[in-house]
Amino acid sequence: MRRYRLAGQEFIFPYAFPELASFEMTGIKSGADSQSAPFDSDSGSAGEYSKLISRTDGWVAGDQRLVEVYDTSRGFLMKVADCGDFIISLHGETINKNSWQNKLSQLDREVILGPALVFALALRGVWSLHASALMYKDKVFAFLGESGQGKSTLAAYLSQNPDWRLVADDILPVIMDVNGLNILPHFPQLKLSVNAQPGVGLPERLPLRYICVLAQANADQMPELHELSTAQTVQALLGHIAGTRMFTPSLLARHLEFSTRSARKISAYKLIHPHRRDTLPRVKEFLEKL
Amino acid sequence: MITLDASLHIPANISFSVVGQDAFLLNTITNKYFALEDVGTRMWELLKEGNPLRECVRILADEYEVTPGQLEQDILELMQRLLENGLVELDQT
Repeated sequence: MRRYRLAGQEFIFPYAFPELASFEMTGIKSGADSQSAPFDSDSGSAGEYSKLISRTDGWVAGDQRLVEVYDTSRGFLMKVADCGDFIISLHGETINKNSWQNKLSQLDREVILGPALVFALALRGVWSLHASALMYKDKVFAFLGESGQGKSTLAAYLSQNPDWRLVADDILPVIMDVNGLNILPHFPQLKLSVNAQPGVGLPERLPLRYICVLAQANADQMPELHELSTAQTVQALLGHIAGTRMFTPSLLARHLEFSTRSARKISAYKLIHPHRRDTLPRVKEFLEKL
Repeated sequence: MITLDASLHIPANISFSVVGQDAFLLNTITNKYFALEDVGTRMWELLKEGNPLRECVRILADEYEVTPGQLEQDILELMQRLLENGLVELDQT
């Protein structure tokens, strides 16, 4: 068994993940863990797929795939088309490939560290924002936006500047506590190499100061920054959490509660941002003045 | 089409949260969110308290200082949309 600490949560896997080397908890020996025992589909029957929770198409492991999640007596079964079946324990502590043969394929790894991990984190009250994040001095900014809205471009530009540091590139785990919304930067950013993981060296939890929702502008427009109302912030949070289409009704209800509570505690802005490199310094200036 | 005499309730699979004058409703079966503003939020609160539809309209007309006739059509259209999206259900009689 290998133990990893991801997004501030301990996970047990029956196999090693080289891409998680920075997150492995060393010096801890793990014994047998009933919750981490592989789910044996061969001895099971369709009856074990006790209840279909969700069926959705999603971008998984480099392709558009059908993802089904079942509530079973042994946790949650995630069936990913052309990838296989994965078991997530009831409270999200473990993720296993069903009937694995002591070797995981690249597809398996991408499912486990992608949708399965997002689902497991949600079971533990950690929500995964589709966002890039940067730290300016001691202030953390999360940039939310649909694909193609310029999150990566903006993050790449800002991170080249003094006092700015990349914290997350694509998925940003967040959690609420009594002080407000926090980010959990110790999380594998799969688009980046093992040696370029931005969360390494940062504290396990950092307060999130600002949310910026990226909105496209006309090519000739200059950047604009507009504060969002609490209701608009709720909508932004509802719309940018990864994996909600897989969630159970209970998780969806908790997600709504999280979004409304968080929106009251965070400053959020709409950043109208034309895709022109010459406007990026202006965007940076706006952000640094907040 | 729904009428003011319809008897409605909020099903168990609906979660909601009120933020200021806005309400966010979630149908956990369809995984769809709906947002209500101002009058719609107040209407939702009145329904949640178990008020009959006709009484809701009377209270709203009083609170917003409009005649019930002005409100009636808007409220019925809102209820019809909520009904179609499973956010409210007609009571079984």
